[in-house]
Amino acid sequence: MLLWVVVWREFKETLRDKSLLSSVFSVLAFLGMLSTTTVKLSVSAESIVFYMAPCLGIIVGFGLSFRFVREKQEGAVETLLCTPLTLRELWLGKVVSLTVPSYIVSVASTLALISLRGYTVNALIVVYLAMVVPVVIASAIGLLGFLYYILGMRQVRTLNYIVFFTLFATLYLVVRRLASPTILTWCSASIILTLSLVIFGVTFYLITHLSKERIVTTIS
Amino acid sequence: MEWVVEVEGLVKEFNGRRVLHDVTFHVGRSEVFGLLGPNGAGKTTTIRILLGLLEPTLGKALVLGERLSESRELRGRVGVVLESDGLFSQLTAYENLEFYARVYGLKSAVERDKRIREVLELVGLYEARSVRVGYFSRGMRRRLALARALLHSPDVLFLDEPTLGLDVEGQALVRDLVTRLSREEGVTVLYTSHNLNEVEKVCSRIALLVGGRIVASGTVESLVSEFSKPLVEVYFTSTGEALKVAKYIRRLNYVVECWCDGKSVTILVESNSDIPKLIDVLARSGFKVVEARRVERRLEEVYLELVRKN
Repeated sequence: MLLWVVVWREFKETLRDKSLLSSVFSVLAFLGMLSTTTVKLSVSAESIVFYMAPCLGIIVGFGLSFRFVREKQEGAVETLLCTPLTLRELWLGKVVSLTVPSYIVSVASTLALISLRGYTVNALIVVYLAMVVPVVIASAIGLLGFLYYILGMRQVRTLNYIVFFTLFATLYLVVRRLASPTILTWCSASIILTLSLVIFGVTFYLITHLSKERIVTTIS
Repeated sequence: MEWVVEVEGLVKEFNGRRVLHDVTFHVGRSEVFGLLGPNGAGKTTTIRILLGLLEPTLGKALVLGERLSESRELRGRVGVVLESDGLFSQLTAYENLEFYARVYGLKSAVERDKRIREVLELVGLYEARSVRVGYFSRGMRRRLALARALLHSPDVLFLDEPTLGLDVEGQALVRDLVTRLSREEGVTVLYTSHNLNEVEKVCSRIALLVGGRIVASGTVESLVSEFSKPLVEVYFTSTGEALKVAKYIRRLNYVVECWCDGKSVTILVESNSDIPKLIDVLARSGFKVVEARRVERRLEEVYLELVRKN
């Protein structure tokens, strides 16, 4: 299946790209800072998992998603669209290959933070990390990728600023809320999963109906 | 005749601004068709419409009888080299081709490896197969893009400025390759270039696009004879005589233009039949003609004349 051909290539490129390293480094720096500033607070494992896992995944995903822009800027997307590949396969291939490293970094760092504090994981945490977090990350990367495809380069820069400051503000709020009573329940996890699936589904639908002309005419 | 590429009444507008006006041309099997024109003439837009990257506002643009955007199978029979190389900098030359080979449906690893080796040798990059494309020069990238376009043995090739950034040797390689592919393998090629000498050597027919309109089309020879007026160079014994002749013949109604360069006068006349008349007039007027010869007009001159006129 052509999708896996795209995924394989994207994986290779992502792993060789220095931006993955810098994203991981940023996450580690943030976690280090977080551990030292919240060491005296009583923070539950559920709170760390609920807030931090998706946030970290989205931060890494955001760092890697510039690959959508680079492919467009360098014109490679034009050549790819002339091959038997469809736009949907290109988009999905990228989403899968960017979600996997983002997810691994996010889960690994969340688990590291939990174990550093001596917490144990329960079934809800396992399900949340295994099922909800990857979907949240994939829907965020997918939506970003879609926006990168349809926007011109100047608009992409504006979007990046907006996303960057939104993530920054979210992290600030998250850190402040870590000590509040946990809201990770089966119900909240289901709501987040459903919302993420809806976002992913809508983006998937929009990508299927996106014209190549929109991408080509917003290249420069 | 069975047309491989059909463009009829093609119109393209961007935000109400018309960039292609009723463009029509056809390309037959194993033809190398050149699309020429200055920057902004609409060459790339025409190619993008044919490739299904842009939608036409009006008219049709078909490849092998279909719209490329509507057929995945058909896209697998077309090779492209666009202005951007479409290569992945983090991958090696071999990995780039391997990716495209998989995309184009070369399923077995042995078949892929054999074909990749063939095309890399063809463009002289086999030794550099394990080098990441990010370290390649512009010319090497261009060669690799050409190798990629040939990987799946396409029926139709779209080459948009394929020799851009190539050295003389690379340009000759592309020319030979294109000529060989069309003659020996029956590949149809749509070729755009700013290098008119190259087009003259490679293309069997050309169309000149200016301001989104086709202003001339045909074989190179037919265009040169149809659109260029005959040019005659006459040599005299002295510069003074040449100057006198230039002054004298300017009065003749069939002389379009003439200019002096040392002992020679170059004269542009209305038609071929005017050449003997001109020589006769010069001989009868007592000027001592040392030598007179017709200057072969080249595509470049016709091109410049047509572009200026339009």
